[in-house]
Amino acid sequence: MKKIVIINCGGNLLSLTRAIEKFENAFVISSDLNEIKNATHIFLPGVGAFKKAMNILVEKNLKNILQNLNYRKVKLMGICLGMQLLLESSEENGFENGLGLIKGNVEKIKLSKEDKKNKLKVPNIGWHKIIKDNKSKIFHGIKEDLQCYFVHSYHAKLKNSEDSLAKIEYGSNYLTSIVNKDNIYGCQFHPEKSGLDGLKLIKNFLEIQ
Amino acid sequence: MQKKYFDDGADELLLVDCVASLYGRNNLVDIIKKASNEIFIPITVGGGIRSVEDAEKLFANGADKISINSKAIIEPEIINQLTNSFGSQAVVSSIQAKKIDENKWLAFYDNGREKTEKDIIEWTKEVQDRGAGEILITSIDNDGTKNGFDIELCEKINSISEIPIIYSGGMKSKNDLKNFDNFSECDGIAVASILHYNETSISEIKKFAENIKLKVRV
Repeated sequence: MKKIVIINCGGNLLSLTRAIEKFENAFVISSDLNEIKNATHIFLPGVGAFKKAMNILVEKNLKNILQNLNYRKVKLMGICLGMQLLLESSEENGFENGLGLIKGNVEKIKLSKEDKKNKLKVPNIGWHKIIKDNKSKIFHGIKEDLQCYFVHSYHAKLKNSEDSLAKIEYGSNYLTSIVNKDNIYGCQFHPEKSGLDGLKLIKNFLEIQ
Repeated sequence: MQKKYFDDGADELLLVDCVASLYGRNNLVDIIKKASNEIFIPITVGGGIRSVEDAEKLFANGADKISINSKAIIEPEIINQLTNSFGSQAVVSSIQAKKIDENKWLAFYDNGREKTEKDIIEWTKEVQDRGAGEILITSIDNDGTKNGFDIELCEKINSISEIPIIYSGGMKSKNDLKNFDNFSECDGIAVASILHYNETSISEIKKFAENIKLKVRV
């Protein structure tokens, strides 16, 4: 029996809720420790700043729980800042430790002179073509030319390239777009705002046994 | 209608109550609620936003971004307040431009009814400095006329802007897209009338854009 939890650390969870409702009737939005301990599928959304979000996870005692779940069984999906929280640390507003579930750090997107001349901007807001690094069941049934909606100023620099499922090309940079290790997934973009293909990614995640 | 546009491949949805400021209302909440039930692309909502609280209500009901013009003209500080509360990425500065001379446009408000003395170049710089994350530029001269785009206006704004620009106003048919040089003049276009009156469709516009080698998501 599936038990789906969207971790509630504030922010607007409406679109994600509506997206999951497309596929599942029963799920909870909660920050309750027991709900999360007993979940089969956990969504970790996140809006705002890294430090603030980590503080909330610590305050609610969730940091510990999330670090110690058995991810060979439990499925976790971090979205946007939620993906960045999966990493070891972030340089956003100084330095802050993350959950450390995926090896690597979160850094500000740096534009080259050429990028600036080409009018690339930070934050990176908009649709980008996803370049797949590795195969995954998360892509099941999704067309090759997948484009997703991004809003971010920071990006994940992974230590192990096998943890990357996909990236985008942003001027002189490649930016990590989907991370994965065991049953832990993270999307830098918003699957709940990325049209029908984004919904399919969510559906595929929910169908992982 | 919004569901139709989502199914047809829209990249974003822009919901604007054009006469909200005139009638002193903001009642898009029910429409946004419905939209967020059935469409899964970014939703920008504008019209009649006068305070952080107004915006808060829209975000709580499913808006991803808000667009603001009239109140920002009267009290520019509201852009700072909004970006401090919700982040730059959530605040779109709507600029309504009317050409008054060669190479000179002034900013208007109340859906193009009220004139200001603000030159749009200065005004674009100001909203950007105050933290707006995107600009929605509307050509008042062309809006609703189906006379095509004001490409000069696009280029002008883009030359000084460091944030994404969405151009709106005047699209007559997909052929107008030929005036763009791979969207180097702006980052996207907003289309209304010709879709509402079923003169063309989003998928048709995109297919055409792809055929003439413009960068689009299909």
